[in-house]
Amino acid sequence: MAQMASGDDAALFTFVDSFGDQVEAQVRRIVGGLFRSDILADGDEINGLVLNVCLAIHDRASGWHPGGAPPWVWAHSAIRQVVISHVGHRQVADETGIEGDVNGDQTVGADVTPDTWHALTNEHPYLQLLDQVLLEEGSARDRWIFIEYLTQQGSGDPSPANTVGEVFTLSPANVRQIVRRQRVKLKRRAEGDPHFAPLLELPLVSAA
Amino acid sequence: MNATERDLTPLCQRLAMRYAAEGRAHPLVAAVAVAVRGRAGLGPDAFAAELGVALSMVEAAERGELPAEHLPSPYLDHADQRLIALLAERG
Repeated sequence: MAQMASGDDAALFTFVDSFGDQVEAQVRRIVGGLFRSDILADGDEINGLVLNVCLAIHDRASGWHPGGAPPWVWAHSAIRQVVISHVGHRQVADETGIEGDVNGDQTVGADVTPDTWHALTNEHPYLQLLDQVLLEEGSARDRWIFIEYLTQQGSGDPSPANTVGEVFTLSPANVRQIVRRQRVKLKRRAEGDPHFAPLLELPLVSAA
Repeated sequence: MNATERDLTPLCQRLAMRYAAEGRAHPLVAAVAVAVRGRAGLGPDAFAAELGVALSMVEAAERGELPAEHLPSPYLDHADQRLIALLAERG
């Protein structure tokens, strides 16, 4: 990674040879979560995805810190984005009930960066309210865990707590606990402040 | 998938596209030269010594200054068949 960060493109190929199998396992998990068994069965497709992912990691190598999570865990969001942009989203109803309001024509299934999240909150009043509560009542980390969890769930990830846990180096139980706490905060705020009352229309909040 | 089984030609082609956009004269040759050194896991100095060629030759190849026919033959000894075929087809 240090070699890649220094701009030596040859290190990209060394990385593929050394860690391609680990990256492939991550790619297969994501593709499997999207229920694309056709892609899983196609060795060329998987190889192409692995190489694209390695290129994405290469392009972000300067942001990685030695001693941190392995690159394929650290870059999970980018990996997921590469896979989804190639494979497409799983089309499922979101059990939170937020999909219809959040998605519209947008694709929340791709991992949300701060910029895209900001853009989404500007476009969708429910998200703006939700984010206002998250910003006012919790840590920045918990806010992003919650956002990432919703994103994974919205894209059909069958184990969003596991995925988010990998990204933030937390156990799935911790992730679930944080999400539960955020939902309770949202509900309390929605019940106590008429400005936030519309949030109660979301099962995600009302069922907390 | 075993590392030696993985087909790296798509990655070479992607890299070659970037090099072409940078204006390198022989982008595919540059990408293959970079790939061969990367698979050897060596820095430019050590790789030049391994091939028995001048460092300037390795650097010129990776900058895309050499056409495929001027690539030192030891490169081909170190490249897998798919990369050689890619060069033969499109280099």
